[in-house]
Amino acid sequence: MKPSTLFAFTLGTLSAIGGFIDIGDLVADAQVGARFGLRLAWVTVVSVIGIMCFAEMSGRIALKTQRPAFGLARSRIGPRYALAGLVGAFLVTALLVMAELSGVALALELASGFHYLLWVPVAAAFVVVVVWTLPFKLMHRIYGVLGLAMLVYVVAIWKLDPDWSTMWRSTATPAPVPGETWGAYLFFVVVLIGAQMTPYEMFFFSSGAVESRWRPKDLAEMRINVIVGFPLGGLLAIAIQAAAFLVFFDLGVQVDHISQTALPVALALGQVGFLLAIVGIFAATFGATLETLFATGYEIAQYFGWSYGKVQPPARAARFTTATLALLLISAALALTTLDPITVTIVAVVFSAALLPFLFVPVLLTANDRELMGELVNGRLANAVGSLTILFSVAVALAAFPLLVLTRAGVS
Amino acid sequence: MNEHVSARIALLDNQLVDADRRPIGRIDDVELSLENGTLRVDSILIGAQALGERLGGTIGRGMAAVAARLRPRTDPPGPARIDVALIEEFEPLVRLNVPFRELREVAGLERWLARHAIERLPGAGRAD
Repeated sequence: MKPSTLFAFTLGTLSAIGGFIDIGDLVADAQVGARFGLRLAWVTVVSVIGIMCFAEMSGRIALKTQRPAFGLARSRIGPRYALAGLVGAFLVTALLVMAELSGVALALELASGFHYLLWVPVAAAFVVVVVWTLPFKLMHRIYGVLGLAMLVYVVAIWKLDPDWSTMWRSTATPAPVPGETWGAYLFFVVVLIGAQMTPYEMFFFSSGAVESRWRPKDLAEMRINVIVGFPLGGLLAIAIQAAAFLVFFDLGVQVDHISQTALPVALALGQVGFLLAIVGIFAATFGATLETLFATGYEIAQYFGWSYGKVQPPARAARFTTATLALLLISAALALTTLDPITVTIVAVVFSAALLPFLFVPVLLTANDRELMGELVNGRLANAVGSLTILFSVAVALAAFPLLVLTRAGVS
Repeated sequence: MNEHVSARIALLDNQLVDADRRPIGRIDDVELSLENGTLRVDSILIGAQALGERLGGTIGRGMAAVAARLRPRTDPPGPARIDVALIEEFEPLVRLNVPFRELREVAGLERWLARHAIERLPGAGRAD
């Protein structure tokens, strides 16, 4: 492997971790671990396979056409359907920007003791400075490396010296624990799917591929990113579930604050572990703030055909720059209304889960267009996994709102 | 041009770029004329006003109304149009043979935001 390939490999892989673990995961994994142990770990495996399949497909479309998947959607499926998709995706990612920004502020609260609302404007200003001054690749690299601090969760599990047979029994029992209902169990299936198979990862991955000027010869590199990055993210997600299981489950503690996500690490590894967990949470939410923010900007710009992205001076993409800056300001303002970021996150990921089939189907159709894709057209494996993922996501989408209402967002 | 080119596939909703491949917008609609029994595409329409009018309905009308109000007062009313004679190629993107700065009437919002907001920020660069 050439040094430059290795460099690009770490780069993309790290950004894939940053994309997978975000505020939605931090909240959902800890809640799930505390209430259901590892009985929902299979959902993370399904999510990882599904998002890998669609990230690879949208990456391949971007390599072949030099256009991001969503950019093609409008000319291929018409402006009406694409507009509906845009509005849905916009609402979900915009809510997530607010939640991720709150996550950054909460990480700063954990580190400093000052209330997170004081940190929201600081975090927003920091996002502006980073986006404005750092080049695209460096930006990814920094939060990707910092995000590796999340591996402290994996270490913490060893340190907590669990009974592995109990862990395995929990993993192998896909049913609610005694005292919990099937409704609550299934609701958290929806939440985990929504938190982990996020469409913004797909938009961001394919738009990033276009911005990095990847070409068909970069196919192997793109695939390595997918194959290493997303499973690593999934491993971290299961580690957070396991850590919460080991510490909170027997005590019957409910997770309703992000500090509780870091608590198992503090118990296992002391102050150093706690600090690393905070760095990891900061990096993951900060990276996700950038990704959701850019993904939202990309969605709008690509629908209307505006120039977009970070490779050119901001003045040459004035509408895109204005839209993203405005969105960041609105998100910060929304966060300052003291709206609970955890509730916003749960609602956003449920909506996100309900949208999945509408965003996956056009990607699958485009990747199957032989005229457009040439030798990079979908093979049997991609089609089989893609179709199964869509079937599963349809079931999730149909169940999402009834479960949200019936279980009162997982309370009962 | 005698070979068959579908306006729906080659033009509508496709990305429009200038001579330097800078994105301008999407082809939101086309304007046709009837001449001796032959329909011709005269110009392509760019901008949310054209798109809104094409989509129709409450949402489309709303979009067109907002876009019409965002247009600079110096521009002629109605959606921004570009003569088809300026189209250089269809594939892979619809490319014009003139640079963006010479297309005074399209993407007014882009120019206005660049001039009044983004260019004024330090390190934003210049729009043209």
